[in-house]
Amino acid sequence: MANGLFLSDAQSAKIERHLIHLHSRAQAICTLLADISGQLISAVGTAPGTDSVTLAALAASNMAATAEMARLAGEPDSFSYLFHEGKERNIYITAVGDTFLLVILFDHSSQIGWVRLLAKKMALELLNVIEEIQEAEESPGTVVDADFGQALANQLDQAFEAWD
Amino acid sequence: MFINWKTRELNLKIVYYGPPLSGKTTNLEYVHSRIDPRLKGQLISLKTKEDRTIYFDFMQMEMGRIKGLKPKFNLYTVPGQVIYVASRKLVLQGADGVIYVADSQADKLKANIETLRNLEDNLRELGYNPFEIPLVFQFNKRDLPGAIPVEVLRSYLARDGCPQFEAVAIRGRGVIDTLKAAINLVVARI
Repeated sequence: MANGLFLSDAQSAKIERHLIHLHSRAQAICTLLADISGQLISAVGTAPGTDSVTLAALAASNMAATAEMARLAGEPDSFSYLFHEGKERNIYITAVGDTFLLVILFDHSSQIGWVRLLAKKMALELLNVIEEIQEAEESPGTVVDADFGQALANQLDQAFEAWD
Repeated sequence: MFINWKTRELNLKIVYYGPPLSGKTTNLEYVHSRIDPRLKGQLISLKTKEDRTIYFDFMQMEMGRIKGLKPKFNLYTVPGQVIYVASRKLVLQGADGVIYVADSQADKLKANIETLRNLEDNLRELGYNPFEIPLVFQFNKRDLPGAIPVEVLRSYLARDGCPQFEAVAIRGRGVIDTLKAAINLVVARI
């Protein structure tokens, strides 16, 4: 089966520090790192109506569709970034290696050229951080045992029962 | 599976897979409508103007902390239509478990079998062993007059050790039981 991703405290904090740095310099509204399956890894910044979990899922599918377009267009590598320009807000998405993507939501107080420059630099830095990721010291099996499964099953029953 | 030990969150991805119009989106819509609102995110549906799924439907649900760890489930559906085969493969990436929603009508048997083969092919291409991934079968549309006996569906589709449920997703019958079984199976495999 495909492997999971386990981030230790230190790795998670390191990624967050990088995102905060980028977020602040780009004066972004929301900055996030996701993987290509749509899983949100880390997000910085919130704004009303910004759901970073859903944004990560949509950005990943957008990037995947773009990769397919690159293939159809005969581009040997995938297109490296995506930019959506709106009247009030813009979204910049760039690949971080083969399995991650960086998403920056910003408004017109930031220039696209500046955001692009920062994102390009940050993608390389994040790639170094990600390459260091080894399996965390604490394996999920130590926490997710039979008791965990039973407690989860009980919670699931309650989650749906209350609203039947 | 994604675990962040800093935030102590366990993220798992479950994908609803099946032939066109078998009721994958209906399953997810019912789950979204029945779960405690405090535990769910928004339901996103990327549909064509004919109301057919083009990329996927998506929602996240989360449970309370258990032994300090917060389980979160990302639920996706794939588009059933053959032309969106690339989307199906993309959505399967990173999946921890699959719910196969079969259409019980006799004239859909061929589509059910072909889509199951397509699921296995896509899983293999993504590096999974298709016979090891947690898989739950749902035989949907049991209320329709053209529904064939469950034994027939089982003989063509189901596998030993994979939970199976009869369902009428449009009325919610079997929907929650299917999801609970998939979640329990996925968590038991960790």
